[in-house]
Amino acid sequence: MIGHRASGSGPRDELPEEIRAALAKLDARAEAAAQRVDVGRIVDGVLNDVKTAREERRANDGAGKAARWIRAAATIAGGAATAVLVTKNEAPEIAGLPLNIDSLHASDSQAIMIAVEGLRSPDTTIASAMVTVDDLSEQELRALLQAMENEESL
Amino acid sequence: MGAALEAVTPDQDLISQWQRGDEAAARELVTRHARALARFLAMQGAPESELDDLTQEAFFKAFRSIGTFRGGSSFRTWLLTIGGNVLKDRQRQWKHRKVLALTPDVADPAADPAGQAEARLAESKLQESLGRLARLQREVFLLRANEGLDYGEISAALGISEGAARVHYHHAVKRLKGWMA
Repeated sequence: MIGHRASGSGPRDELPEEIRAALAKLDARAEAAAQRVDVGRIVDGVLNDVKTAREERRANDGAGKAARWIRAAATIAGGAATAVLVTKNEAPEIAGLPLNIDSLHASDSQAIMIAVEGLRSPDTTIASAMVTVDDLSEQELRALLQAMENEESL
Repeated sequence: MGAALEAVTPDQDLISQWQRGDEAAARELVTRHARALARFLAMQGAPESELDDLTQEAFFKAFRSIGTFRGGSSFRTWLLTIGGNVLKDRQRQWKHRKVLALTPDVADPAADPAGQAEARLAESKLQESLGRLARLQREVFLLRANEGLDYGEISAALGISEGAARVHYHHAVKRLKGWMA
């Protein structure tokens, strides 16, 4: 017998006879069914589910961090692209671009973020703790400039 | 008394060990309580074919929220109430499909056939009547009548007052009696 039940007189014995007898019979079948469950498989299944849930949570945490870093990179790149635009039609100097993040408009920032996230492949991870303009390639910076120009012309 | 008493690690200690990452403690908790949980679910109308899955899901949910277990009731009683929640959710999904409950008894050829048929009818009526009870009434009834728990533990596990547990139990018995008459 499994469960909490103690032997001897208990709450079940105080039930009306018709309920008590039917309950005992139903319980006997429930207990027989419970004896047929595969406890070993259940143990493995539970531990596996717990492990999978932990891995998913870790992966989600990691994806969240990567997304934050991409946004940080986009903001810095946005500052660089704005600075490039300020120089009008002059060819951009890639190395040593001046940064002026404070001067970035919200709409510019949004456009740059979308552009950077589009340029970066989905599996790109940013491992460095410091994100600088140097992290973006010349091609990426040119594409950003183009995105800014498109945004301006809308 | 010849044999020495086997030392059994209390559930609360196993829970603490599991929270520190000891997988063996989790294995022991599942092994210790899986069948009692499966029986409780079967009593509430869970089909036998689903018992393994329901038991596994209830343990998974229990382990995920083990930090909320305060010890007001035993681990097993707390687990049974989680099992009740899992079953309720699953029963919503089963609403539109026919599910077989427990495997029918194998008839004893030596027993009186008329008596057997009557007993089977009464059992079937009880099972149907339990399904008609409100969930809280059914759980209080089974925890009290079938698990032999006192009202204090039932109230702690279900988050209701002792008085409410008594009222639910008495209403359940009254209704079952009326439906089975």
